Amino acid sequence: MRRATQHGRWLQSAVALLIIGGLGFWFTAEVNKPLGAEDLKIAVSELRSHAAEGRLIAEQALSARLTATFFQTQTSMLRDKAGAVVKDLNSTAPRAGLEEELSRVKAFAERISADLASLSSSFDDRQEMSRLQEDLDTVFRQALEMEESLKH
Amino acid sequence: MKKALEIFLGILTAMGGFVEIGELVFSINAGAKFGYSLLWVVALGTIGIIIYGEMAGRIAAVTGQPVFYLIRERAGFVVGLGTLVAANLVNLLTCAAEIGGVAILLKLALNWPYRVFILLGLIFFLLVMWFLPFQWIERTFGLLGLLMVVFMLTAILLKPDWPQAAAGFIPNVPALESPKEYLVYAYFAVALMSSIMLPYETYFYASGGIEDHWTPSDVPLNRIIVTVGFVLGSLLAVALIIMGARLFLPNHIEPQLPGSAALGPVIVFGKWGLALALLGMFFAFGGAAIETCLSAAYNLAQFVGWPWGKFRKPGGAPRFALAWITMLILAGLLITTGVDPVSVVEYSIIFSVIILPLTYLPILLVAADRTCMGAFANRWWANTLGWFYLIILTIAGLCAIPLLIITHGGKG
Repeated sequence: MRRATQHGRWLQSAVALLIIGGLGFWFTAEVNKPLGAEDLKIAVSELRSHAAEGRLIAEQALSARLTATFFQTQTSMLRDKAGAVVKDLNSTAPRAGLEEELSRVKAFAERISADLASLSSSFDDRQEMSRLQEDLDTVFRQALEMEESLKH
Repeated sequence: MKKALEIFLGILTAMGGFVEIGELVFSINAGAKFGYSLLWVVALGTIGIIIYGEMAGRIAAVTGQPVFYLIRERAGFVVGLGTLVAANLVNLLTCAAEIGGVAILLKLALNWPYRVFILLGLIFFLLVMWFLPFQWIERTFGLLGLLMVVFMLTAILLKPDWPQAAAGFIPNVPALESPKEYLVYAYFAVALMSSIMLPYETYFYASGGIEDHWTPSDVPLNRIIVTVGFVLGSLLAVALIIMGARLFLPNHIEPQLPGSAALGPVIVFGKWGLALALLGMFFAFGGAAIETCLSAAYNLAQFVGWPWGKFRKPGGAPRFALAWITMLILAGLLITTGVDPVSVVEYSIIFSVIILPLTYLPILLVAADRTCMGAFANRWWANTLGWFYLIILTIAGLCAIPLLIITHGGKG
């Protein structure tokens, strides 16, 4: 009886380990696979979201609804997020045929990152802030188009 | 009069302590991605946490036994130990994310270096937990967390489409563009459910009942607090989804930072809205950091049988005190490495779903046991609902990690 219980426990542990190992293997394989169109679409949608948020923050700051500290910190954090997308794109090789798309997305990410960096130091310069708001609006629209094209 | 005040404060505390960084992030993003269509998950999760919170509180009041004592007694040492390790890992991740969230909020208000705020936050929490009695901690953070009501006002003033929002409370699957989108919808449903039914809330609530020396005469008090407090608390989650649907969805923003949430109150109330939102989030995240930290110490002490409780001086329960201090320091070290608090909390919430059935099954078995609970044992409907939720949580637990991988953490 005791042997049967022990046997059952070993079996349960083995099944649990197999499931955990399998999930770990799946996760690692997903992380290490080459960059595909789907990954590019995810990167572009993240960038689109950061550009849109930057645009909204600029709009609120221009209406004097934000403090300088919040404005500078939040836009710097958004710039870091956009920078992380650039870093991710640089660290993985693309699938064959996606090289051109990848370089377009990279250039795009760098532009958004630069816009957000300039925005974070523009609190006292309304003209510059307004210009950056317009630029972020333009890149936001381009990102939406790029996302659509990557869907097909 | 004293009882009425106790009920009132208990309700407000439960309400103010309902939302933490994970629920904030998932609720706003659920609205930003799928509009009102995931509101039904909030309703489903709220009924679930009421049912299990009530059972755990009733067991604490009737038997004086906390959750992890029951887990060890009913599930055995090996399964109990597995649950303890998993639960405390989730507590560690959640606590780290809350500390990181607090540091980000302070940075948004004062703009000093992030790691300085982590250190200051740790010292603040350490002092609060060392010197303040349990009820003071619970009420201070719970009541000041009520400043989050600014999100409710924001949601109302953003003029949602009420009939459409009401329709969102009926379980539904919206028409989406691709099969992958349906998986992202499922991922958000699972994550939202988990963020509402986070296991530490039950551990903490039941241990709190014992800290407050509840007796069987407190069973009605327990019932009122969980029902009214959690329903009102869930209105905050509803408000965050509505805000996501009204503000972030049309602007194509998928917020990834706690500060993004403050943009709603900013648009409606200006700088006052910003101040109230940051303060509300500070106390909500701070309260959750303390609760997860204490939960981990409660779980460990209850499992191994050490004396525990904030009602004892640290010298009266030294191993319990050492456990929560260690937890706080480990969480601080983890977040100091520079990991993103929002990513950490996303993982902690997904891993929470996996341990939820293991946490709730022993509670259900004891609450239904007439030899143990006597006249306070579950009625047939409580058992039915309990099993219904256990099945749902088991399915959610099985799907959680595959969904996390397939949808790249809900990104698509």
